[in-house]
Amino acid sequence: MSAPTQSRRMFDPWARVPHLTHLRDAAVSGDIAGLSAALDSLEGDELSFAIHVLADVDGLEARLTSYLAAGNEPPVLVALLAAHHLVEGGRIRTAARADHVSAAQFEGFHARLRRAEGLLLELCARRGEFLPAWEIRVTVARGLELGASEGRRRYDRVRALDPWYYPAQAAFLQQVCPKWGGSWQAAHAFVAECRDGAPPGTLSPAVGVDLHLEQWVAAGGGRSGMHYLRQPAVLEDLRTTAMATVWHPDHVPGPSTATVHTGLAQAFALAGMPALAAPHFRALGDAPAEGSWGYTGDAAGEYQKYRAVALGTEGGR
Amino acid sequence: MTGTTDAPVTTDATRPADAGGSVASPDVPDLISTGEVDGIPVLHAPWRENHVTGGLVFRVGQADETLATRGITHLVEHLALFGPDLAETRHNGVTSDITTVFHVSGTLEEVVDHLNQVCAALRDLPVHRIETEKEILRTEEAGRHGDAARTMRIERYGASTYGLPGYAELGLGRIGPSEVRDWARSRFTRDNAVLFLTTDAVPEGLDLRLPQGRRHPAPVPSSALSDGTPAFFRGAEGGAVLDAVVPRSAAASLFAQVAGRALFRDLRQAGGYSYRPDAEYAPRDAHSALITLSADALPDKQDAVVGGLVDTLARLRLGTIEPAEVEAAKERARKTYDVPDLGARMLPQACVDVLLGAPALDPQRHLAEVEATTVEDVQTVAREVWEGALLQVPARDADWAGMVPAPRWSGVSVPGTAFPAEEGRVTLRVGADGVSLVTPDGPVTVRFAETAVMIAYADGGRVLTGLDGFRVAVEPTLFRGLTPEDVFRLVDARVPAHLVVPRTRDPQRVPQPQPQPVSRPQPDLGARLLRIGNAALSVAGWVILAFLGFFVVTVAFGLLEGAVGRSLTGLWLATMVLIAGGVVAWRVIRRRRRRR
Repeated sequence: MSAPTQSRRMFDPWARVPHLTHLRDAAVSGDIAGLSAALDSLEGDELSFAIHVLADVDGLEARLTSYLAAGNEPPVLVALLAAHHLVEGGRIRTAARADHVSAAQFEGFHARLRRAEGLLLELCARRGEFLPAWEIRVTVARGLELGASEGRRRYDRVRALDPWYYPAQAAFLQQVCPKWGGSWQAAHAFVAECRDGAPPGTLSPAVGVDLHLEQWVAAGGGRSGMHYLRQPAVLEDLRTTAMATVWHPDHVPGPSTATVHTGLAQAFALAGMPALAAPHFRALGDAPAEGSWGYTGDAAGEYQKYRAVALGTEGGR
Repeated sequence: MTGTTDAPVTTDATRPADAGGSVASPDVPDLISTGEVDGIPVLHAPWRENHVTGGLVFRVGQADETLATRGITHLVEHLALFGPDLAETRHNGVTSDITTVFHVSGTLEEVVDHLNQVCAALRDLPVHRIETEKEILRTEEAGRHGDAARTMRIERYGASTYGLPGYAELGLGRIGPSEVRDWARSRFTRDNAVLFLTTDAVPEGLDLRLPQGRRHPAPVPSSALSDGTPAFFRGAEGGAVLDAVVPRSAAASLFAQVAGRALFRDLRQAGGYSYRPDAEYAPRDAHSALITLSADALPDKQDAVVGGLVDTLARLRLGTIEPAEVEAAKERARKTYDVPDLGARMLPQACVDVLLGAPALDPQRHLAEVEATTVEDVQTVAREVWEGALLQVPARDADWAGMVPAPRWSGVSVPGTAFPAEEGRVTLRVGADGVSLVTPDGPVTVRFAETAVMIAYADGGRVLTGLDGFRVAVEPTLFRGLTPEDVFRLVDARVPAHLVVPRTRDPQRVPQPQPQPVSRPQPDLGARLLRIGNAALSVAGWVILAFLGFFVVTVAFGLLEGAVGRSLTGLWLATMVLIAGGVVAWRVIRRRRRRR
């Protein structure tokens, strides 16, 4: 089995939402009306997650397009089609570093993003309160290089609807990191903003975990990255964040819970603190999230390796 | 000189399409009385001020000129005001797009005397003053900045009609006494004028004798947006501007009010992206009005301002306009008319409407139209604004918003003798039909038959501007094999003399080829900069010099060369500055290919 296939299987997002597999079935069978109705019953993190996962279902584009062309324009399906364009654009671009992406690939990537933006611009004009559309537009702004302040304006629209919405925060964090023209100072300020006043149990503070992983990458990964993560202040911050979010008694588990667990597991594991990583690996169980495990190569392989070490510290499973 | 205190009423009503205004009995609202002096219609209405204000309005303005006569109307206005010397009066001349107005405020006697003197001067222009007045005008021009509005005009209309006010007064460099006299005799006539006065009756003692002529209709607008709209171009830093031409209507003026408030809420109150977002409605001619949405921005907020402007307009055309938003706009329209001396305040605009052959604004009718305007009517205007929109963005493209780039290149190049550039992959072609600059990204062409103006430097350099606003610089110093003799033989011989503006320039200003930088920007400057930078490296190095407007960059290079010598750091610095200059110049060229 090839590594990507193994990763896809291992990090199957549907495994995280077994109660939503009827959505996948509706999408695969082409029951767009049924899909639309089922999506309408979702909200918040679950709706956002469903849109992202459905966007990757093969053969959906043609069905969605013809359904929308027939005059049906439920916002959730427009957002889904836009999210699909993002997925397709990402396939064209690949995850390679920018200097390994050809001009033609970039053109194809941007063309897909412009299609997504065209749908979302109109959707947000008609339904300015539809949060998932603004969340996707945060990512589109980055991909189309519309500028940091435009990314921020779009995130501000999300924040006005939900100040503690972790998926959009995680998306916008990328924009303020140095690799996208931001700075560590701006990134830390953004994390502070996401934490300040966050209701206990919300995932909002966990955007700081994503930032630590970004800094680990920037530090060069490996030993120097480990040195960064092992700093007492960083470890303390990771522990505090875990307690305030996924381990907090008020936390209501949702699809993004696994994203935060996998980030914490990775951060502790890369810091060489397998014992601290272990509870997060255990919480992930059979439905882990891919998170940033792909940063160091084969995501599934890395995940299994560090998981084995972490659980081994507890005498194995 | 000071302007008068008149505040023209700028709201508007729907105009019927026929333009058959009668000089004898202008169609004006009841608040305004009419009369006639020396064949010139007079509109008058009393006001409570203890001074009188008058205005002699002619249906001629900058949009009636050509680029080669650009400034001639302003020159006539200045010459006409040379005579009057009334320290006690406040008087002024204003040359606008399609009108020229002589304003005066003072006692009735002073006003009558001033108007008589203006007409006397127009009958017999003091053309001996031309050179002096030209100097004054050049000084006045130097104080005007190339603001966003001027660039918008050039991008929308090119180098004719309503695009002309975007250009400097180039014609001053060539027009002489006879041309000025001819212009005055054909445009500053009794049949092309209307007078207003804030008086109960037409006063005695007016002597407004002017030559007989004809009423000139407003110019038929040209268009430089050959690839359609909505379109965008890159303009100056500091904010975003979007404009569109729509039919004059109460709904359109209400839309501007609604849009102004929406922009204020979305761009200032919501995120503090812009300090002064605004929307304006301004009648252009009898049938059309220009709607302008604008928002200033600090450099680090300008991308958000573009996005916010696009989103706000998208909400207005596609989403929900609350009835309260329209009602607030209506309330403001009502208040516009709830002022003392309404008739007197309406006089200036009424004169323009009479000259355009449109029935003047009638408050009752307009208010009835305001009241009848629905949310759907306003939304229809929002759609029209988007469909005809031209957006000036400070940085980046706006194709993501579904807009097309305003033309950056001419569609074709002309065949002809090729002269390669001394530096860079660019060729100048000079043919029987025109000149083309062929660059790796596209050609820029000016056809001789469609030349708006040619600046001719004594040293042999030429800059041709086409009616579409594209410009080509023909500089013997920059192209291999091109001699001043070639320029005389191949270019001068084919451009009509009345389109040529002769000029001299400091020999230091004659462009010279510059070696291209060889290093590239560091990756940490960002992918975007790198992309633009690479494009700039290929051609901008010499294009900078080919376009006269970019002498600042040239000077900067010269200074640097002297200042940093040949040390490694210096070379590196110079290279970086050169690249940055290339990037800036490239963006300027792309967005302001038609700078005067």
